Amino acid sequence: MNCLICHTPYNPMMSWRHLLTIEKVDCLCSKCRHAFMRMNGEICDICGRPFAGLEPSHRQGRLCADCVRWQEDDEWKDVLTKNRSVYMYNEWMKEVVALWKFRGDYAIVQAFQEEFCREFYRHFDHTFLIVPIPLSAERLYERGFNQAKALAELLALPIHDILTRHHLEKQSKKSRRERLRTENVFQFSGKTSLQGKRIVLIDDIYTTGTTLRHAAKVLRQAGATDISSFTLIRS
Amino acid sequence: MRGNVVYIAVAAIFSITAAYARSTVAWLFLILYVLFLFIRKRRLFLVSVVASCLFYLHFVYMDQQNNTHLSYNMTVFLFRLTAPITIEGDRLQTIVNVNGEKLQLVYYIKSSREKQLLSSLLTPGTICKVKGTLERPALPRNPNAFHYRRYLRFHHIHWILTPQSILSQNCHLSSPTIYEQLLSLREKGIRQIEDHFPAETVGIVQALIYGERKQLDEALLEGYQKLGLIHLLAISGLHVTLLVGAVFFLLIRLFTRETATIMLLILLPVYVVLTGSSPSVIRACLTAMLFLAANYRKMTLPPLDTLSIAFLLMLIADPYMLWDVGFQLSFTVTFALILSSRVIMFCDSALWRLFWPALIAQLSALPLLVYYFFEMSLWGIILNMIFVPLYSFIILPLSVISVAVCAMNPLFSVPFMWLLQKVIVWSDKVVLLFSSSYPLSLTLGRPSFFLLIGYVAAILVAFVQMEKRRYWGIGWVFIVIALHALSPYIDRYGEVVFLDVGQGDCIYIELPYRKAVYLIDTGGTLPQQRETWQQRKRKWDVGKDVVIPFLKSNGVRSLDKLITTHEDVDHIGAAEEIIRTFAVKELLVSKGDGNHSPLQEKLLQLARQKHIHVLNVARGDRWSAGGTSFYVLHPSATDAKDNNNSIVLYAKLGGVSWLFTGDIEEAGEKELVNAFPRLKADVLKVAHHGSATSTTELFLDQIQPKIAVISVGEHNRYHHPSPSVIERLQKRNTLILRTDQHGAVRYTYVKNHGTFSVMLP
Repeated sequence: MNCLICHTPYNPMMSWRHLLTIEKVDCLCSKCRHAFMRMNGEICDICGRPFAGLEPSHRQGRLCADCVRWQEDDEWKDVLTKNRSVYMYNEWMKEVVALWKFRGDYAIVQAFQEEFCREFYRHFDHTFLIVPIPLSAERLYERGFNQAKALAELLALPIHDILTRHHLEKQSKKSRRERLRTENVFQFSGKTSLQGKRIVLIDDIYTTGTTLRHAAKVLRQAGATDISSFTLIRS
Repeated sequence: MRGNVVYIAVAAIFSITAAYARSTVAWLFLILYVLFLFIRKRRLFLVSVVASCLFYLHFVYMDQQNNTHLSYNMTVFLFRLTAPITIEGDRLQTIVNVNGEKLQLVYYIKSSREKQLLSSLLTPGTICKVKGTLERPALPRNPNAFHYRRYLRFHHIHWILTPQSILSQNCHLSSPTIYEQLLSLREKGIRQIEDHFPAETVGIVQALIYGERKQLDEALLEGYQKLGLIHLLAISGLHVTLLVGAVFFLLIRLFTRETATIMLLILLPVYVVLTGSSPSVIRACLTAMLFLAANYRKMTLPPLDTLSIAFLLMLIADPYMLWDVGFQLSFTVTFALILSSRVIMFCDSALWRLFWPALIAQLSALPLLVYYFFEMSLWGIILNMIFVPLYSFIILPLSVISVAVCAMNPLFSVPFMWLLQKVIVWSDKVVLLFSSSYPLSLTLGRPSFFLLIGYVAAILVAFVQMEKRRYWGIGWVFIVIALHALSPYIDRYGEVVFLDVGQGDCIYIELPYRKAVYLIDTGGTLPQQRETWQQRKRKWDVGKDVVIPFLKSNGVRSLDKLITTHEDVDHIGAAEEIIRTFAVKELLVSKGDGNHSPLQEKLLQLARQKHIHVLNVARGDRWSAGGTSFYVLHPSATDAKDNNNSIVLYAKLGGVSWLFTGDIEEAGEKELVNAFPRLKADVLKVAHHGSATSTTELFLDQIQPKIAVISVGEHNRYHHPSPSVIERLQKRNTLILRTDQHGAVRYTYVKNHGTFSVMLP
């Protein structure tokens, strides 16, 4: 069996749970698997950023400085109830994301299945509507798949594609200031009202939270009462 | 396929079982398993189905081939010795080859001179011409007893050859094959240990180096078995890993890695033969060879796959292996240890790293141990934590060094042997102390099919839970153990069993819901006058070999009453052993004239020592339990002597009236008839093994039994039962059930209905 990421042959660890097929055999070798950094310790109540390794000046009580800034702005206050993520961003993750997203190794998503699902059910449950962040048509054509939707599919819950996105320049080439200033690229395309619904937005990464807040805002305008987000990575 | 060979191995188990048993249940299991694969491991489905079919057909073919070409009427045999001989006292045993068919040879040596002669004459590769007779191997004569015929058949042996004599002029040594040469080499090595090593260490060193246990003290061996330490005396994975590691370490100093690997690959099969080719050695060496071969090809094999491949290879070579206890235990424990490596790796402290393997091994072997040995030891885990490191790091290396140095120069090995002796004497003391004084074992009896499934399920759940660090999961296993221990008390069946104890009486009575368990007499082995050269290390004893295993297999932990009808050895010979093994609540002896034989006196003394309530009973005594009444009809407490002093019991069990007469003779019968003129019984235990002096016409006319049970030994020296008694019974159309012809006679009942069954067809 070869590792899904590094492609070297490895002997998957077999245990009773594997034998009885309660647990799937890991598709990563133990070296790759252990290179991921899971989120743990104290985190910001809103954006889920870990406080460990953060300068004390960036923390105010149970929130981080960024989230305090979002909350001070009347336009953005409470647009996003909370964000939770599975892994921290590190050099390894950067490589894996490059391989997965930019070089199009779609299958890598399998490697996240177990922990992605487990973390999801720790913070949310099946009553939430699952809404993946869409790609613009151009970007989808370029990339071949929507990474957010690929992640959402891991949950094996109904997926609600109720957002569409215009094409703009790539987010990762912009500064925070630029991102904040950009107009909302999302539109609500759902048929039914979202009155009183609770929603979890799914995306691959939470960097500044602008994208997710823009999407959340559109959904809020469509009537949803409570919008959270769940991402694979928190940078 | 990588990492998944184990599923094929499981498929092989189910398909071979189905091919052998051909029962609906076995088929159901096979189908359920294949369905499981279809749902959960679709990729393996097709491969498994194909493998199952192949294993099924393979077994069917092998089983059809496993037939004899010889017949009863053969008298002259030309055989070739293929195995070393074992001589125990006056009995010589070996396996010989006649026209390509294996036979078990048993020969009774006639003189000490012949014994010496034969032990040097008969080496593997010898060809002899003898006159003799063929006999089918014995069938089990008692419930849950060892099935010798099936055991031999699984080893492709169908006959026991008993030569009249083995003469040296009729034997000649042919050029032995390599295999036979290796066997002779092994014999030489075993003898060398016997000659040079201190007496206390011989047995253990032979077991550790050559896998030979015959020289081990019987009580010690039993102790190791009882405490769950027996695996240490078998050459297993641990030995092979240590030895292969050491040899490899030495070889790579002299040769390249590749050469060293190839040398080991050649040496390991030789090692298998030298160590007696037991399943655990084959397993260990085969996995080591697979590992080395993979290493040579610069590949890695997952441990689970390696073990599974070894398992499949062994089953292809001999599918009957699946029924070998050593094979089952060896593979079960190794599989469990590999699958539990996660649990073992959780902990960092050395103590826990000793504890977990011990627990996992005990837990996984539990159903097998309970099935084959009827009891479990609670010491197992703790003692294993001490003995596993003791054996792996002290006794085994010391033994290897001593043997190696001894081969070069016996003088230099003295200090090693001295040290070894100290350690072994100490460990023997510990084993004997725990096994005899504080055995702390729980007798559970042979589990039923459903209990076995319960055990397997509970153990799987426990292992899965332990992986998640939920250690209370082991509670499930304790629940099944408790259920097993209590199962007789919810069993609505009662039973009466006339055990086949050879010449003698032993009757087991268990009331429904186990309201009471009684034993009327115990059987007993008559002491035989034998010369020193004839004496066997392990003497056959009816108590130890028949009655106690039967009681244990039935899950008996205590006897409510042990009824000793009278003082003869064939009735109470094994009583001492039984009192020592089980908790006996009451001992019933006949009141009679008050004179006790030395044997009886010894028994009474033991009873006092063990605080057993001794009751002297006579006519008029009675008791009841679970709605059944037992009446003592005899003796009348006058001056009855010897056989006529036997306790006679009457009871109604399962809608049938029973008369247990002990050994009473004509006088006793007469008195009984006079005292109880209206006494009748459906089942009569024929008095005194069917001797002509009992079971008179007068007595039979009065009792009018429908069934007569005669407890008597095959070819007994008294020529019981007497033809006249048989004739008297036949004249009255009484159904005769004899333990010499039918084996144990068993009556199983619910309420007022029951059925008789016999062991032999």
